Amino acid sequence: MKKREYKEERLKHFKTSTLFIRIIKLSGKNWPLLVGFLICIGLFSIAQASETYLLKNVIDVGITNKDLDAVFYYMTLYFCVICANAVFVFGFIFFAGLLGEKSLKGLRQKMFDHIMTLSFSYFDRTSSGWLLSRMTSDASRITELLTWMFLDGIWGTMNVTAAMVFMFIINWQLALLVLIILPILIVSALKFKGLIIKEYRTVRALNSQITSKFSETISGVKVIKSLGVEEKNAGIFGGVTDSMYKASFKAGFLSALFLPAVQLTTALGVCIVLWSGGFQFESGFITVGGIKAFISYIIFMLWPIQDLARVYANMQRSLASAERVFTLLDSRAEIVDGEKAQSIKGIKGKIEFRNIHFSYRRDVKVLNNLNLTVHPGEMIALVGPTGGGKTTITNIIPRFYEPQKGKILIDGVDYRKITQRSLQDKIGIVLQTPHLFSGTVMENIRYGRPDARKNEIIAASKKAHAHDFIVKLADRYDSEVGEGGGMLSVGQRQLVSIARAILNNPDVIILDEATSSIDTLTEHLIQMGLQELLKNRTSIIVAHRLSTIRNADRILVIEDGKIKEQGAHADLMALKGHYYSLYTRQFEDELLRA
Amino acid sequence: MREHDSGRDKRKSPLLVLKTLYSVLGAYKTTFILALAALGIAVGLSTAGNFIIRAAVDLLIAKQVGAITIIGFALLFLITALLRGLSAFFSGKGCAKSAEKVAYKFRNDLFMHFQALPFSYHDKMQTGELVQRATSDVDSVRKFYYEQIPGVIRIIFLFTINFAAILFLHWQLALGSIIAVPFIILLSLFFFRKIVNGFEAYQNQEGKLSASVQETLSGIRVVKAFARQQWEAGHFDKINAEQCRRGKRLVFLHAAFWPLSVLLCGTQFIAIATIGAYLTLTGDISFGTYVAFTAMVASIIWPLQELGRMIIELSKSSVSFFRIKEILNVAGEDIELGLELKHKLKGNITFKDVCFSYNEGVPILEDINLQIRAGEKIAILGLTGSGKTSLVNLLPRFYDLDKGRIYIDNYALTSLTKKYLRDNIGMVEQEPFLFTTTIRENLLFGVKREITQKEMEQAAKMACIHRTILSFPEGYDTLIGEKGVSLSGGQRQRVAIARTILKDPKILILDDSTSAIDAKTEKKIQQALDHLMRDRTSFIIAHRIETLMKADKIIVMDKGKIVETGRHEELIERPGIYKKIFQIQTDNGKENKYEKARI
Repeated sequence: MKKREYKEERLKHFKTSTLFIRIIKLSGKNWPLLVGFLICIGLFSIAQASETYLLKNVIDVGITNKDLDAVFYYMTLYFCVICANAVFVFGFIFFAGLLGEKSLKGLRQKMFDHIMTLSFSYFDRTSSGWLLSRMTSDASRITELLTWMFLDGIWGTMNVTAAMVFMFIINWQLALLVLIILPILIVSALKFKGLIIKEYRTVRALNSQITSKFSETISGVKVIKSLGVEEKNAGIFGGVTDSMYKASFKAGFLSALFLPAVQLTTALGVCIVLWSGGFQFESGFITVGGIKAFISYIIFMLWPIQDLARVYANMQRSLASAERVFTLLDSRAEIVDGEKAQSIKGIKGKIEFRNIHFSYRRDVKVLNNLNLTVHPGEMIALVGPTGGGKTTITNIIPRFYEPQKGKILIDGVDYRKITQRSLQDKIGIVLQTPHLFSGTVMENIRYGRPDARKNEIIAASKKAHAHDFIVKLADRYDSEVGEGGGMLSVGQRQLVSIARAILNNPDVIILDEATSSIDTLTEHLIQMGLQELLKNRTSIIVAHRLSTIRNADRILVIEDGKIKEQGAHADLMALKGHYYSLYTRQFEDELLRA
Repeated sequence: MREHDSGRDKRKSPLLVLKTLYSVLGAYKTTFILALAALGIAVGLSTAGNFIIRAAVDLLIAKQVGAITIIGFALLFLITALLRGLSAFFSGKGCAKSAEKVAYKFRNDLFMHFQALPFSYHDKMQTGELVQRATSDVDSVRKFYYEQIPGVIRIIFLFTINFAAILFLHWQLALGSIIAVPFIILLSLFFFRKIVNGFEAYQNQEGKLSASVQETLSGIRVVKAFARQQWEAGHFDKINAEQCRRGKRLVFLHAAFWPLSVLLCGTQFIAIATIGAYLTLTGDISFGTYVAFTAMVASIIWPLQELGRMIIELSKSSVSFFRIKEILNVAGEDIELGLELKHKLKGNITFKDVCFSYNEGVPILEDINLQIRAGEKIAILGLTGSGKTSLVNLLPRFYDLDKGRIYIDNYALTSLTKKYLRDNIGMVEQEPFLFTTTIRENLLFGVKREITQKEMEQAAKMACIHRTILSFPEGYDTLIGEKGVSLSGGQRQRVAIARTILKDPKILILDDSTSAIDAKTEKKIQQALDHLMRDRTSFIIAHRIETLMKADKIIVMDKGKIVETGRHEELIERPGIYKKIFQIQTDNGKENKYEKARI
């Protein structure tokens, strides 16, 4: 088997503006929600800022002038603003939330559908873990950018702007003073928060180290106990938790410093207001309500400012996520059906390889000008050293990979004129390590034919010699097989996968024989099940067992991507060539014993 | 499982919960209490700031001030602000310190404990579940001390101190200020109970979604081979739609709560501010009082919106805490209890009437009697579930017997320390576990004596892995696992064999160790194993007769009992499981002989 090396898919680089546009486009037909929440949050900020202004008027126009009607007038206005605010709050939460959930669903569906179209070679390059995090955390981060981060951004900007406008209305000289301090405040808040965010990044990295160390230790507990290395292992772990403690305490320390620093700055601002207000009060330059409003506005502005760094850091992360997700969505399936491709109803079983050249990577040739004709009903055994190209041949027939040069004919037709789906449906594949999906035994057997009736399923299981063990399970055919079939033994999984293949009734069988160890009696059942599966079908088998090889109509010795020898067992033995030496070397022991 | 646990914890009285959580702080009790006190001081100082403003405003109105007084007020205000900042800082720092220390201790304790827990416990628990306890539950407890308790305490301080201050200024106003408070708290509790539960449901669905995607991706070959892309997409759509539905429910809850809360708090504030304004006009309270009053009322009312969320989250975290405690309360193994011999074992082993079961009533081993001399090779054959692995797992005392005795060199097994036993027993498993570190570390991990490079290479050569290791870019220092090279099953097994050679145990357990190795390598490995087994008492579990036939004694197990014992030559003469398996396996061979003759 070929060694699989995962590499991170190379990322495409997008311009930030392109990313933003594509993210906004994700809202699709839900764009009114996007517009809706942006309007609501904008209005909310203005309304919030006006509350303070109204309260100022209550004091200055109402109380100072001893005008009760003015107090009531402004208080009523204030109440109206509160009511409007409630509506805006509802609006932005509802619209943004809905938009978020809908876009997340849409994005995930789009990604899933896209992944389903990708070719095998893509999955060779890309680990399932990589794809999984694109589907989960990256997708949520992108929709967060589309909703809450946009919201935070608009809110912050509007907040500061509205507060400044009202301050200018109240007293432009003082407002100017605040405006001068503002940039200093923003820059220092950003710098400081940047430090904290950096520390939390370290904490996150350490946290994933801790998690993997925990799971490694729990799953390896048997080895740890039998080697008696508990203390040593704990010592290594202690080093990680030590750094974790230090990093998170540092983050906590900096955070503890940050808020008071911001508050102190506020106090300083308030003092400036008090001070200059105090001088100017006598000249009627500013009122008591005005001073109070200024204090409120400064506090009011500080919230978005102190939050700025967090929003910015999150935005960076989201943009990185977007880059990864869009790279995935932009990757094209390498093998696509031609426009004129047609569905086929069945295969008689004639398969021709004509001058096939194939390589997974440009520099390493795996198949080198391979020519082969498989006749209907023939049973072909592929033997040869690891890496010789046996598995590759079986992967090319169902068009999981496409040869760089040469032609494959199925029943005399170029297989590129056949739709992949109909071709693959007619080819049954039984892999070395059978993969089952969580669900019941029944669901797994009918995987390839969801419409199969129960009696058909039982008939298939009987043919596969799986029925006997299935009926001994607690819930018989309705027993759960667990994730990846984990609740069944390897042999049982193999039997279920044979039943699955028999039920699907393919015209051509591709079988990669298992080398793993299964107890002899189960192994015997598997053999009998396989014989049933292979009966009357064209089959290509990557063979490891003597019995399979001997029963084959033709044995192909594949080495260095070429057919070195072919023929029946006896003929090849008589030839005393590659097969003879392979056979005697590999099976010497069994021969000696018999 | 999770709901079950939380159900049990609901019966704990809140006082007991608080007491336990307090005791967990250990050496950091004082730090934490001082941190909370500092929080109170910070809140108090901010109220004091309002009083300074009040005095300043009143003096301004009375026009009794000059520039100097105002500067004095400004300075005074600045000093309180500075002090307030300092106390807030100390409070934050103290909370961070105690919370991080608790988390640190829990992580280390859990780690040691996982290693000490007996197999009977690990068998029942899933790895993912335990990892979650050690990570997310520990983080919940950390947040409990770092954010939640200080958060709630802060709201309580804000409420009491400001309320007391208003009470001091004008008691009728004070009472009027808190009419809506019970409603705000109830509203907040009502919604956040739903929101927090809704969020958990959302997270669960997220877990399901990612498990489903993971499964589809790892089975992508099967999906394609059966042309089931469309069905998978439909299946995913259902899970995805459910996730969206739960997400929307959360959105609705938030969209209902926050406007209601804004309305309620806003109305309370406006009503009392209007009354306050009226009292100012009538001269009942001073102008300065009014200014200070509105500021203090605001800090009573608005923070209460969050109280519900904090209380609900608080109760959730305490559940996390008890889940951790539950694990720590399970007794771990004491590997140093018993006799520790100075010399190495010889390896004579006697099983006397041994009975064993994982769960009561389901016997796994019944009346096992065996007499093994030092240096003998024992092969064990049997179907899956016949008790082979359970039998050998008793030797390092991974499990305790139900009945009967095992003796090693005439010592009762239970009289020796587990540590000593395990140091003298080497195991090579079918799917050997390696650590994600360098190959060198893996080889030397279990060895408690100095090993030279040469000795290590010698062991690797014996296990036929030396040349493979050298073919890696960094040789013995190559990392294996996620960040390094991934070894094939056969390579992993050979590393495990080399590791055992270095450990040099007197008793050896080989659990189908050559199964994942191709025929060519197997022969070499077999030589290495033969070498390894010399002078050691060895147990070999295998399915292939050829692996078993050279043993001094072959044991055939069926349903927990030894049904056949003897040498290969004896067993093939008797009708039984061994003979049947032998026949199936040699069928091929016979035909071959025939074919060979024909050629």
